[in-house]
Amino acid sequence: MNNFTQNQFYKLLTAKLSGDATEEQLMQLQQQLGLHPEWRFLYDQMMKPSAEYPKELADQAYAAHIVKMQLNGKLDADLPSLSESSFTQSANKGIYRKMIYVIAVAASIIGFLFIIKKSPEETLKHSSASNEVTTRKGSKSNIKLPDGTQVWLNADSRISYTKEFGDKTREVTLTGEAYFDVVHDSVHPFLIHTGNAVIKVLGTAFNVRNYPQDKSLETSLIRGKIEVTLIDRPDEKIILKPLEKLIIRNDRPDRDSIIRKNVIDKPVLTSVTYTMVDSLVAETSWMKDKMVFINLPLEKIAEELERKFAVTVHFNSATTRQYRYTGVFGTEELDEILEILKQSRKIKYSITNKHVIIE
Amino acid sequence: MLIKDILLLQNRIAYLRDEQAYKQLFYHFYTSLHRFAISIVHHNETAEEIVSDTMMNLWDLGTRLAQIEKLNLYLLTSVKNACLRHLSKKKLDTVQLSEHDFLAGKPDTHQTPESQLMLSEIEKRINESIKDLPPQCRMVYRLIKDESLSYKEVGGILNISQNTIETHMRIALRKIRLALLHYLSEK
Repeated sequence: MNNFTQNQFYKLLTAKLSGDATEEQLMQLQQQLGLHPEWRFLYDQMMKPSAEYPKELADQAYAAHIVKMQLNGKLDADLPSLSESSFTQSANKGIYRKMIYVIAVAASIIGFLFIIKKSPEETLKHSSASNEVTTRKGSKSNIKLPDGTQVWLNADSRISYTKEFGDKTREVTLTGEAYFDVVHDSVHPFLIHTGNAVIKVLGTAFNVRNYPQDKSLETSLIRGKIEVTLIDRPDEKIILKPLEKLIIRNDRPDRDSIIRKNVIDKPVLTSVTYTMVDSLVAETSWMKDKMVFINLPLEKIAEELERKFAVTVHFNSATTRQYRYTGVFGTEELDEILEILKQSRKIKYSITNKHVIIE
Repeated sequence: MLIKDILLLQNRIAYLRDEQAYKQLFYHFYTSLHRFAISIVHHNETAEEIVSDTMMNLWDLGTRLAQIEKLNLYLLTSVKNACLRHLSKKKLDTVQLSEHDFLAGKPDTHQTPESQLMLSEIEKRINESIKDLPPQCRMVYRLIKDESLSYKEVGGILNISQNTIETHMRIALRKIRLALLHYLSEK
């Protein structure tokens, strides 16, 4: 085939791909293919759609996107609110299908990580002044740090940072739960001190949960990359990839029971829970005034209710504490929530002043 | 997805604020928009941000969303404009040296053996040859081949003439053909 017809062929193929080809051009193209079978291979390849990204990438992008939409107050309008019929006891049946990303459970242990070894208390002591934001039970707060980083502080939480914030590093201390959207700045590492771990931010958006009464510290990554170091094991670092969640148990056993320590003390890497029905990422649902429970024991749900409604929940029976529920709550009041829970699995409760008693 | 399916989704989002429809649209357009953004800004996270912002704007359009006839063209144009705004803001910064080329179908950092296998040998050859093309040539190829945009639309997005488009496509197709011939002769 000479050069002229080659170019002619490319032109016809381009016209076909762009959808601009005339009837006449399409006929010509078929004719040429008949005359020159050696072009067939290229033609066939071009008619195939290009490879899509692997689905996990779109999943990650979508999860990050949804969190961003939530932060910007979108998607609020007509969320299907929870009704009794859509509420199920088990996470595996019912309308509330859940979607769990199974992401490789791999904590990489590489080399030595240098951390500025100051306990939170010391940090505060050494500086002349520090800023602190505290939220009470039942309230939430949105803070902008000096570097522009956004922090959404959940109820009953505290975050503080010193005057030196931003000089060399950006360090904050957190008790409770917060979602961070960190401004990227590779020169000034962003570090979050919690009870027994330091989280170094390599990427951008994630949720940290470290309530004193919780038995574990949880951190879930939505986008970017973070690195977690345990205070008592500074030479191990755990890198989290998007949609992974790290759980570190706070209730450490006695130091001398080595066997237990190895088993119980081991951080667990798991995946972020994601409900398909209304595109909520469970770990960050609190930001949107939503409570998402996925197969959660009642005692855990009670903790959330205590935080949100500033009440105290008392249990009279150990069995009831372990009842498990799955569901999403939005604007419901406390008594409505309890009533819905009751519909799902029978419980008896009473509310007096700020006390809830569950039989 | 057919154009009429996309229009249906647009209507559901516009009038019913249907989040499932929105999710479907997001997944449908994500690959091509991200790939397109990356080829302009050469930075994975920036491209992600831009695509996310563009999709958020789509939600904000409200009922006007139902009036967009060719959504892929609308989205590509929005992404392009956002990319250019980003670059002009950054124009005093140094150029990113890291060559993120996502034509192989995914960012380097996420390459796993499994996802590697998903691409057939032939696709890999094609992608490799596209990777070496000059940027504008590559973009023309993507828009014509993957988005099936017309000459006029590509010309509008990239601000180039039909002749230039044809020249770019000729270069791209010739290169791919050579790669495929090599592949065949190895077999």
